[in-house]
Amino acid sequence: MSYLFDPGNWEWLITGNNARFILEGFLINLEIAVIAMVFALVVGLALALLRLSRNPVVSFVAGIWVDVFRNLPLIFLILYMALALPISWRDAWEENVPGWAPEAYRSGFVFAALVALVLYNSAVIAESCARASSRCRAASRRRRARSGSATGSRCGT
Amino acid sequence: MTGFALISFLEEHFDAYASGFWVTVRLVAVSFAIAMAVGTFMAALRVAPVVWLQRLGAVYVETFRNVPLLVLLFISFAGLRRAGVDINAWVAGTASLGLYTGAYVAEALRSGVFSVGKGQIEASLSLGLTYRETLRHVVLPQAFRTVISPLGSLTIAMIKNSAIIGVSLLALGDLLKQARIVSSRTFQTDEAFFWAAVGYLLLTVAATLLVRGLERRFAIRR
Repeated sequence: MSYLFDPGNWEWLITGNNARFILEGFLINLEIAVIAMVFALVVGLALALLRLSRNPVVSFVAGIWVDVFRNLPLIFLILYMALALPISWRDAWEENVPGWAPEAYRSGFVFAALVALVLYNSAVIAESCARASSRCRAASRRRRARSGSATGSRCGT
Repeated sequence: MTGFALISFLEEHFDAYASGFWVTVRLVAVSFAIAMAVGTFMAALRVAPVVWLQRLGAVYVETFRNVPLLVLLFISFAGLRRAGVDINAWVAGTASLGLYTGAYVAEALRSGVFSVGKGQIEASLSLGLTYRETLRHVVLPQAFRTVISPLGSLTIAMIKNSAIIGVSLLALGDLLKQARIVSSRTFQTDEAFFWAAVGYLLLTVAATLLVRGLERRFAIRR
């Protein structure tokens, strides 16, 4: 414990640019999180719609996709994407990343991280959207059965 | 990459995957025990009738929920070693995963206790049951049922989070670590990671089915 409270051990934080480095890393975290959130929401919503499709084949395939990516560890997906994403894709990213993007984004591994984050989180979002929607449908079906009419449904058919 | 090539790949590296699978199972089992013990204790603090005990529980939950597991692993292994505590990777890994999940367990248990209506507690107290009897016969049986499904999803999340231990500096030989070793030895990344994915899916699907069975068994019929 004495290690923690010895001010000499914390000098590195204020010397040089160390605090700035940590802050920059934190900003990169935030940026990746925001971008992945936007894409994961869009993809997740699309997956949820496919999952709820009336076509049984589409719904089944989307269900398997969602269940597989929801049940794999995120770190597993990130590692796999970093190791197995074709080098041509990473190069394409590195060439096409806009000039105003932060410097860390020049690396193709950021693309791998984004792909993995979107794969995992879109599956999680799709699952909870689909579950909420089917619960709402069941509730409206019950309501309709009770009142004996087709009106009063608040979540479509 | 045909199906036959995949199967012969697994045959060739079966020992590595089996040992990794076993390490992951043991990690999850030990961490689950720690998480349940710590989570129950912290939930008890959070529903205690003493304000500063509640605050203590809240501080624990907020701290461990809002620090990434990877950072916890770093602090508990490299940090403690630097500070002179001789901790081994296994203890650091299970303790971090257990304490991290324990915070979530505490929240789940707390909301389970609060899901029992206050009216029921007042009614049973006014019927002459003691506080202990109320807890034993009214609150806990109902709280247990509502808590099964959140605890189940926490367990599944814990199986997935255990993969972080394998890639952190603890370097315990869990399923993901073994997959990495196999892939760096053979340069067949797709095959190596495919079988690790199968291993993780076996664990998570088994846990999902188990939780679903328990939910059905203890469902409250209305």
